[in-house]
Amino acid sequence: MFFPTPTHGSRVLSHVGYALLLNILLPNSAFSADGKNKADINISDGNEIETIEVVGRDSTKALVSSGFKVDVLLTEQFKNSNYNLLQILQSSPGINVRQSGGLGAEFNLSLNGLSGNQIRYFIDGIPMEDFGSALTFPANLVEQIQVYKGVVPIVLGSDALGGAINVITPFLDQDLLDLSYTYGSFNTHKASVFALKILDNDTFVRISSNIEHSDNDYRMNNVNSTDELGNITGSMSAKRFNDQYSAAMINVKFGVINKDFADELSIGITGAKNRNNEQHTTTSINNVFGKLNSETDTQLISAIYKKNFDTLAISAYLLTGKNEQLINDTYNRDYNWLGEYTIKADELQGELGTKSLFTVTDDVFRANISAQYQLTSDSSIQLSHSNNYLKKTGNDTVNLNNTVFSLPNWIRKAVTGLAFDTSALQQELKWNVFAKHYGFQGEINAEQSVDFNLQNVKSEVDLSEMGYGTSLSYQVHPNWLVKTSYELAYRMPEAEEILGTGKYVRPNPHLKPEESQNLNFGLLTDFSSQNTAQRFEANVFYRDSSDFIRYLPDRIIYGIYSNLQAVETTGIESSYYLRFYDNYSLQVNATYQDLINKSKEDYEGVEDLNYGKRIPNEPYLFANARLAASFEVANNDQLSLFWTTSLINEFFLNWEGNGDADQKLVIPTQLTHDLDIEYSFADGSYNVSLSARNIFDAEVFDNFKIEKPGRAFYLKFRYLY
Amino acid sequence: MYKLKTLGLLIATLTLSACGSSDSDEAVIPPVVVDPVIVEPGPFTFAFKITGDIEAEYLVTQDSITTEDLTADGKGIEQQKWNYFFPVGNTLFTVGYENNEATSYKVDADNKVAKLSSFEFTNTLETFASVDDKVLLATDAPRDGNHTKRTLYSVDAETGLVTSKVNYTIHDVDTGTKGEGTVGYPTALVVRGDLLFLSFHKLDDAGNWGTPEADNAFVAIYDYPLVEGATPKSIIADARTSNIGVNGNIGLIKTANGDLYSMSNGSVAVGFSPASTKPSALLRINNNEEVFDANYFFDIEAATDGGKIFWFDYVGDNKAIARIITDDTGAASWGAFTKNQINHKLVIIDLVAQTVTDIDGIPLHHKRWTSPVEIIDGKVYVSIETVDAAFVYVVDINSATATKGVEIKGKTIKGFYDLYH
Repeated sequence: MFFPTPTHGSRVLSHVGYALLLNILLPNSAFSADGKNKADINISDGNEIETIEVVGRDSTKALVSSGFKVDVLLTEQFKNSNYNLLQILQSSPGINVRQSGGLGAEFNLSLNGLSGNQIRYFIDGIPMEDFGSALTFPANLVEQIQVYKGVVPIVLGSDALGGAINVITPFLDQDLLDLSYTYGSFNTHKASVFALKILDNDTFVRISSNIEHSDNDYRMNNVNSTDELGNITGSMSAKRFNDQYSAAMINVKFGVINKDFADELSIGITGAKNRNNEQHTTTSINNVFGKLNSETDTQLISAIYKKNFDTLAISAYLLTGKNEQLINDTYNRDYNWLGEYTIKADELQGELGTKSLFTVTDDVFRANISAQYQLTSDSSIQLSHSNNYLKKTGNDTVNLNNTVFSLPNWIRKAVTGLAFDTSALQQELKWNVFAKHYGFQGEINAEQSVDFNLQNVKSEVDLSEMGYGTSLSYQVHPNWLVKTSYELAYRMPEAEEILGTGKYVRPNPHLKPEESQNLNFGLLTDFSSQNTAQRFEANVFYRDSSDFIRYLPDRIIYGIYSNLQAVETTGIESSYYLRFYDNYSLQVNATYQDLINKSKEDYEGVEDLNYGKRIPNEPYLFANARLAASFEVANNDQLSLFWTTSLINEFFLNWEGNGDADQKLVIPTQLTHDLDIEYSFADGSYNVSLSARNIFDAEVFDNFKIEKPGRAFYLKFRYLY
Repeated sequence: MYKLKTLGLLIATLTLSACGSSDSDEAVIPPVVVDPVIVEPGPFTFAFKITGDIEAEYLVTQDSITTEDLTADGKGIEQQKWNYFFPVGNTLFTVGYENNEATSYKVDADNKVAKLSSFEFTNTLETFASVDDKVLLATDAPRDGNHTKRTLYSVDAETGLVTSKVNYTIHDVDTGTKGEGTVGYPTALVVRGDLLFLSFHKLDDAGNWGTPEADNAFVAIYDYPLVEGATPKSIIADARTSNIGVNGNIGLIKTANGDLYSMSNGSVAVGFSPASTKPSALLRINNNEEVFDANYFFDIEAATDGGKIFWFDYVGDNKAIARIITDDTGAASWGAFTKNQINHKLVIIDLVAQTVTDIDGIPLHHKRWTSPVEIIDGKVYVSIETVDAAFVYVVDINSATATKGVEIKGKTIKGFYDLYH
């Protein structure tokens, strides 16, 4: 019996590939996410900014005090140590990142219960879907990360079902040089350069680059030991031996600022490459590979324009480029966890399936224009239109039977948004209401059997949806802010979901977008005394999501993507921050989320007996805490210590109530502790840090049986001018 | 596999008490005379699949399957994703479809069904056989049409361990132009003496799953056990019916006297593309012969008013239990595997007399995949799924009648096994 999964054959690794995070850094975009430009945002009144800076969470009062549920994560406090964006996100409430390996491994980020492509990523407001999400960037190349939960403003023009993560690069307001180099366990090397030079007050050039490598040869404590016939003779520990990851990225941006005709007009050019050796598939450690690898190669060029006229602000971007991914399975070898191999008798067999050298090329073109018109001092309207075109070309030079995306195909998404923004009661009350129109067209040509003859069949789709939302915030008291927001959100289908891939994955012209009603209710409070500052935030979230797009192997050899699952999520996330004098701080956050199956029937129309039960294989309780202490030593040198503890409660791989409780497959509780010691001298120009990750060498898993790295040490040097 | 459950437990109890008494000083108590009571056999082990979009399967063992609830709520050994379940003697193999691992289960010293051992494999195993209740044979299949070699695994049921792994070929025509040639897709393995009979489909070699030679039945015959690099000593063909077997369902069975019977379907509903012009039928290879019996041809379509055989398994006395697709008119490609096709009926076939008897009491239903059946006290236990429910039925083979049992609180039970006797 043959059940193709969409990843069968050469496709099996392509989802890995999508997750091989491309290192793409794009220029500052026109608008920051709330539609106001940076300068405006910084002009805010007094003591609250003070509080916020103390809190270390956001520099943008306007954002936080808006009704949108947005967390602004400042990267500053992470720049001296070995942190990338993913690790910073992981330490924020409501977010859990699951990884299946070390540096460069596939990850799945869940935001208030929605995950994967239900979350959209942006760099400076430009959508990064299909490129991965650049989240392995070291903190040094970015200024902040804005996390919009469930309700996303129209300027982030995309189809974000569960929220959006917008990575903001440093602002173009002063010369900056930030150099860093990290060396650590598993032969990890990372170097980053960020250089910004402003000439004559109106011309700038910026270089942002990152190179990283890791052997990722960490020890797996519990892998199968097998004999030459495949019999599992026991378990053993083994080092990963084919998991090397190397990546390099450079972005050069230049242009003019502060001109009569433009506040910014710039061109950005990005080149990125990476290579990822694959130790095993992303779902199982049983198939061990010794040669299998993938490579990606990306070139992008973009242009930005923005101008703030009196009452009218305009911004626009263009982005075009190419992303090429190669999956190389050309060795007929059978490896075990000791790194030994036997040659397969069949020369046609690769490590994964039939030998294959498969390239998928994405050609993208993206454009956006946004305008904001100030109606009165208290209210404005915004209009935004985004267009996103994608063409995929597949080519397998070794396995000629692999014809995925070999015939012409394309999709185009267009999102048009209109919003009205107003405030009252001296800005104590803020209200935003918006509507988004999603348009989706696509076409694929595929060889299909029609009356038992293979024919080139063209499938076309044309979809449209209307979503809307609102946000409201009220400053009840100088120290108390309440906010609520709602959006009816959609995720349009990905190319292969609606168009199929050619041979085995059939097109589904009746596929509907994923839909979710997202509701947040939050409370923020902060209070300071002479020597302490405290901040508390709690957010209750509700997601009523349906029509999840899932792959269905419905006809033995053929499958199709269908709208299947409905999930209701109710959760609470909260965070507490305490600063004690200038030297000590503590940040704690915790999230509890209940993801409940709301599918009454399954894909075959049979009553789903797990209706109303918790969705399996999803973490539902996680928390972390970060304790910081900082001391001034001689000559204004600074010594800082950070202790971070994270907890993810155990969860079941399958439905909780089924099966013998003693024999259930479980992803065990993770409890890890990290220590960072930083020393800064010469007024902060020179920084050196030592980081110890997973200090007690706990065996930790995000995914069933796929162990993550144990104890690791990193030494980082940073020069800042 | 045949099991006759006796009143062993009761007898053992009596014997034990008798032994215990003989050592005592008390007067010997005469054994209590009890009327033989008919007890249901058991314990049963069954392969339970839950409902829902997130798949999970459980190996549940309980004393009764006609009085106790059939559920995996709080019981059963959890399996990963979709599995083939295949019994060999008193060992049950679960072969993972996606995680490249097979696990064997057996009754352990504590009298519980417990894991015996596991093995890993590279390509997904698709076709299985039990050799004399002692060895599991398993082979992969050419999924993407490439002219790859096959691998045959031999697994000792006593230990659950792979004892050999050989590469072999079935059939390849490679013209150098994709789509012109064909590959062999195995649909059954049967060992008889020192021969292995392997039925197969001829599929196009571009991976489109076309059946360019649908109007012939093919069996490849090998010297058994296979040596590394084995090729068929002969391939026999018969133009009276179509390619043997249905994807995932065994196409070739052996009776007690060594005769082999094959089943052919040939419909687009089971994946033929194009359909065969030949009727769905059974063929025979007589014991000690290596050719189809020219005098034997059982036209299933003629015997069932246009029905086509979808699955069968041997149940003794030259009889097979079989599932017939009653009507495949206008069926979609591979449509027989989709749930809404409630047009399968269960029958008893007398292979020698060439008769088909509908099993009385079982409604029209749908089935995707069936594990080999076990005959437990002359009965076969089947899970029957209709549009809105799934029930266990107890089939009496001799009378071709069935009794409806309790409802299955899940999607299906892939198979019922007696691992205790």
